[in-house]
This record gives sequence, C-alpha cells and structure tokens, in this order.
Amino acid sequence: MIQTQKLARGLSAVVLATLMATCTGSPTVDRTDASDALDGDPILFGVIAPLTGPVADAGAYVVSGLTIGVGKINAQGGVCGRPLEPIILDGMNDPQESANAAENLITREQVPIIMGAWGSSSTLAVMPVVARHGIPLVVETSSSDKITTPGTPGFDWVHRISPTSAMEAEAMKPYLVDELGMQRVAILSVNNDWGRGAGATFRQAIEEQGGQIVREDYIDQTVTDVLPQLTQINGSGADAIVMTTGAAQIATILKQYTELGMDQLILTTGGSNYPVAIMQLASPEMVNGTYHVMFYVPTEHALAGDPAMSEWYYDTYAENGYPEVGLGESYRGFDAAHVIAQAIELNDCSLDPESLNQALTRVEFAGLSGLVRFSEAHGHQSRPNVYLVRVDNGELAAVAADPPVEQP
Amino acid sequence: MVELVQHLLNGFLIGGIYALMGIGLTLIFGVMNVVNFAHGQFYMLGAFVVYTVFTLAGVPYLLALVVAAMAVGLLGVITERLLLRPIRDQPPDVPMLATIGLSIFLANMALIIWDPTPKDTGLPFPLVGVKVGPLTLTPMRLFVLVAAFVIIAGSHLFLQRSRMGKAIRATFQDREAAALMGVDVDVVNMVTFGWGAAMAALAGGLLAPIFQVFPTMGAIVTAKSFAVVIVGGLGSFPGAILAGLLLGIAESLGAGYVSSGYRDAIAFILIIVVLVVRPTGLLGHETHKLA
Repeated sequence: MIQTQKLARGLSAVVLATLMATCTGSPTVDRTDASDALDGDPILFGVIAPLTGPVADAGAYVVSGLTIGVGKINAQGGVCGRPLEPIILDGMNDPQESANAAENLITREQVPIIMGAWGSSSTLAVMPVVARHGIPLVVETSSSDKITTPGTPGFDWVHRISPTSAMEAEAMKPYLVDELGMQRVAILSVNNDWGRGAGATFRQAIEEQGGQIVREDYIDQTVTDVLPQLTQINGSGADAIVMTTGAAQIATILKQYTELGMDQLILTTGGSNYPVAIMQLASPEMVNGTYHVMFYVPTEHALAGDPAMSEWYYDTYAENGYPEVGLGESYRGFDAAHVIAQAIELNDCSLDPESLNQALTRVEFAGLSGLVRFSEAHGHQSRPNVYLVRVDNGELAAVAADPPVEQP
Repeated sequence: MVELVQHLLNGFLIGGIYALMGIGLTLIFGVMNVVNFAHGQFYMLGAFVVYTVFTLAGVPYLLALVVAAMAVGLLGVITERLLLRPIRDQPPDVPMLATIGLSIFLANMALIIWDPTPKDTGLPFPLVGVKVGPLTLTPMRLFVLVAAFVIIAGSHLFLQRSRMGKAIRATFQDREAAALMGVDVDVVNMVTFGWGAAMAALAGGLLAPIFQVFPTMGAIVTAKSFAVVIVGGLGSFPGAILAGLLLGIAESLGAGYVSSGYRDAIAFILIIVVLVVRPTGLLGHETHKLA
C-alpha cells in the first residue's frame, strides 16, 4: 500500500513537473531544422508567437508560413551561405509571457534579431525589452498605432510589416459610408490594444464620412457567448457591424448573429480574419455577403507583391499539409522570414544588432502582402496592400484595393 | 422591454449550463473535499469527444453525448484512483495542486491530439432563430436547455433514490460515520469524481455545436464553475442550480446594459456580494448537507 502511494506520488510529481514546464515562464523552445545542405553554423533569429492559449491557432499558422519561408531561403543557398534557423518561443499572446520570451531569446539564445509577438499588447510589452538590449524587432502581425508612434518605449528598434489600424481605416474610408452604406454602425471588437485601436480608427473614419457609431462593445478574447452584445446591437438600430478579432471569435459571433436572425452588414478588420477560416468554423451560408479587410488574398495571386511567389506559396502550403484555414494568416511569417534574411545580407552578413536595425530600413521585398519597405518618415512602418473582400457563395472577391491594382 | 426579456432568456439558457457545471464541481468538493481545478478541462474533453465521434465519425449526436459522458467519466474514475486517492490524506492544497497540474496536462494533451486549430462540430439541430413573438429562440439552444435540466433532474433522482446516491449523500455528511455503516468510501469517491467529470463533459458536448472546440476552452469555465459553487453554497445541489441561472442572467444583463468588458467580472462581484451578505452561499448550510 505504501509502495503504491509512493508510486502514485512520484507519478503525480512527474506529471506536475512536466505540466508546469509547459505553462509557466519557461516556454517551449522549438528549433526548426536548418537545411542540411548548407555548411556553417546556422544564423539564429528569435520568434515569439502564441503557441498555446486562446489564439494558439493563429500562432501556429504564422509559424507554418515562417517555416515555409525559412525552408525556401535555405533551399536557395541560405543567408550568406549559412542556413537560417528560427528559435521559436511561446508568448501565449500574453504581454508578460511575451516579454519573458524576448528576455530569454536575447540573454540565453543570444539572437541578433526577433520577429513577433503577434498581438499588439504583447508586442508593446516586448518593445522595452528589445530596446534595453538593443535588438531589432520585426513586427509581422500587430496593428496598434502605438507600436510605430515615436515616443513609445522601444520604438527605435521596431520595424513593422503589418499595417496599422489607421492605415486600414484610411484605406477603407472611401467605401464605408458611400459604397457599403454604413450609416449607423456598431463596433464589436476584442478588448485589447488591437481591438480598441481598430475601434477608435474606424469610428473616426466612419464619422468623418458622415456615418454614426451607435454602440461600441469590447469583449475578451476568450468570450464565446455574445448574445447579450448582439441583442443590444440589434435593438440599437445599427445597420452595420465592424468587428476586429480573430477568425475563430468572428465565426462564433456570426453563429449567434444568425441565431438572432440579424441582417446588419458585417465588416471584419485586422487581418486575422481569413474568410475561409471563418466559413469552416461557421458555415459558408453564415459568411455569405460579409465584407473583410485583408492584406493578402491567397487565391488572388495577381494582387501579391510577387504573383509567381504567391502561386508557389499557395501550392507549397497545401503540399506541406498545413490546414487551409491558416493560409490567410500564415503569409505573415513567410514575409517576415524574408525580411530578416534580406536585412542580414544587406548588413554584409554582420549580425551586429545595431547595424542590422539600420539595414532593415534598406530592405525592399516583394512579398505576399505587397512590397515590404520600411519608411522612416512613417515610423519604421511598411505599407502593405489593403483589400476589401466580399464573400459570395463561398468565394472571395476583392472589391477594392489600396493601392489600386493596375488592370492588365 | 423586448430586449430585457431576450436578455433574461439568453441568460437562462447559458445559466442552465453553468448549473450543470456547478453541480459536478460541488459534488466533488462536498464528497471528496477536493477543489477540482481540472473541471473545465473535463468540459473541454467532452466537447472534443463529441467533435470526434459526432463530426468526424458521423455517429448520431445524442449517442456522441453518451460516449463523451462515459469516456470522460471513465477518465475521472482513473484520475481519482491513480492521482487523487494516494494523496487523499494530505493537506487540502496537495490535491488542489494535483488538479491544477492535471488541468494543464489535459489542455496540452488536447493541443497535441487535436492541434490548436478551433473546430466546428456542425449542427445537430437548426441554429436559425425561431421568432416567438418578439423573441428569438433556436432549436439548438432549446435542446441544450432541456437536456441540461433533464441531466440535472436525473442526477437529483440518482442521489435521492439509488443506493449509490444514498451512499454519496452519507459520505458527504460524515465520511467516517458512513464508512462505519459499511459504505465503501473509496468506491463513493471514484463514482463521484467520475460522475462530476461526466457532467462537465456533457456540458461541453452540449455547447460544442453552438461555440467552437479548442484546447484552451476550459480555463474560463473552471472559474465560472467555482463562482456557481461559491454563490450557491458549497455542497448545495439546488444552490448550484439557482446560482448557475443567476450567474447566466446577471452576465447577460451586465454585458447588455453595463459593459461587455465587465462581463467576466460579474461572476466575481457576485461572489464578493454573496460572501459578505451570506457567507455560506445562497442555499448553503453551516454544516455540509447534500440537499
């Protein structure tokens, strides 16, 4: 009996120790294999992505694109003849965990550059850490205006590929009221820097065009029951709803929107709103007729910065068996890997962080999300393409683009 | 006025599930004196079993619910036998820590088995709303509510009428006296933990078609379940039902009329108010009594 108890106690301790290691301040380190064909020590770079937690799916998608990108770079000779190798830490989309991950990547792994940290709140938490150590940060997803606003701690070390919420709203401004007829608008977004930032910029854009915001709701990213908010929106006389959150939460909202028999126009923003993912999690019928602001439309290769590469990426993604629902998010990792690789080459293969930070300003990469080029005048911010996409019978159709796409 | 009634209806629907979760947790605490932090993960596993059996294997939804309850209930039984029984005589924080570890283990196992991508189970009943006067109700939500109360009523009958139910109640009131009267306390513990886990799994399986299924879905549910148990009164079966409904309605009204941002805070505000006004909970007793 005593032996059984000891055994069980030991078993419990092992289970506990294993589990604590997976959830606390010691995030999982994932080193993807660098190409065996290349000689020399791999060039390491850090990645902070949410691999667990409510948006773990989005983090996994970004990493899948990153993996394809790194694989392509290494297959083409690597960076300065050396293989590129990401060290991926789980930031859980939690500011504290992401900051811890940055600290670990810099002090323990000694990476010269970092990509991350998906959510705006997490990225804002990472920025003071990279600034303290003098390590450049390439932001692939976050859209809060604060990140590239001079004066924000860490601003000097940040270069952002993803557009700001203000860029989205500005690009969509001509369409919101005049084309889509959004006169009385409700905002229903995730309650963090991303959702609130987007809410504020879209409010401004709609009001400047003569529209009116009739209600604003901000929900936690873990919330699944939104019937109370939708009931209020339905009773507010809103004719449209602007949503900024991840695809999974949008799908949940659309299910309950259907339950209530609502008919308001739906516009989703933020770039983590891939309609194919929403359709798979809700249904094509529920998504029919909705509008989505996107930065990469996987099926519209002509819209990408490099159409041939977009086509290659689309096929490679499928060949690797990655889920189709992640395609619309995965491109971020692909573009970011290429930006980092090009910056190192432009820096004469030096991994000195300070000069690498300068080299980022000279990067020009025709990626999946358009031409990536960081403008010093606009706060180290690239200006990717922004598309307004409508879903009709399960098909995505770009109805507007910024910058406008030249017709052949 | 229509909105108010719709909010009450919405709150009542989600409150039924909270009640189901709370009953399982209150039973486990009352009988075993274990604060089960893995309750939300049993809920998550129930949803994943329904996804696997109903959506992937094409088994009818009702049967999938039964499979979920049995599979997760069995996991609960195994957990009690291998993890909790050996540390039963330790201070209360030891089993509490063990269930915290178990919750993380189960969430990460789900992450490995089903990957982090949220899953849609598909719909066994139509989700399109039916207008009842100015109100909207869906067959799916109606089914969830009816099923929740059938399960609760069945559990109540089991506790009151069956031999095992009586043994559980006896153990709940006085473990040593029950043991002296010939009740096999080990079996009672095993059945209680398995039963509580099965009820959580049923709640997860019932809500899976309405929401999405993903490995981390259980965390917030555990917190809500604790709120239900504390507000209702530790060990009170009707208290858990009342508190579940109260929490569902309070959340619905709070999110609708106060602020969406405070929705999850409402549960904890309720706890504070109840603990100040009535420390034993709404229907709790000074001494444990499974009523």
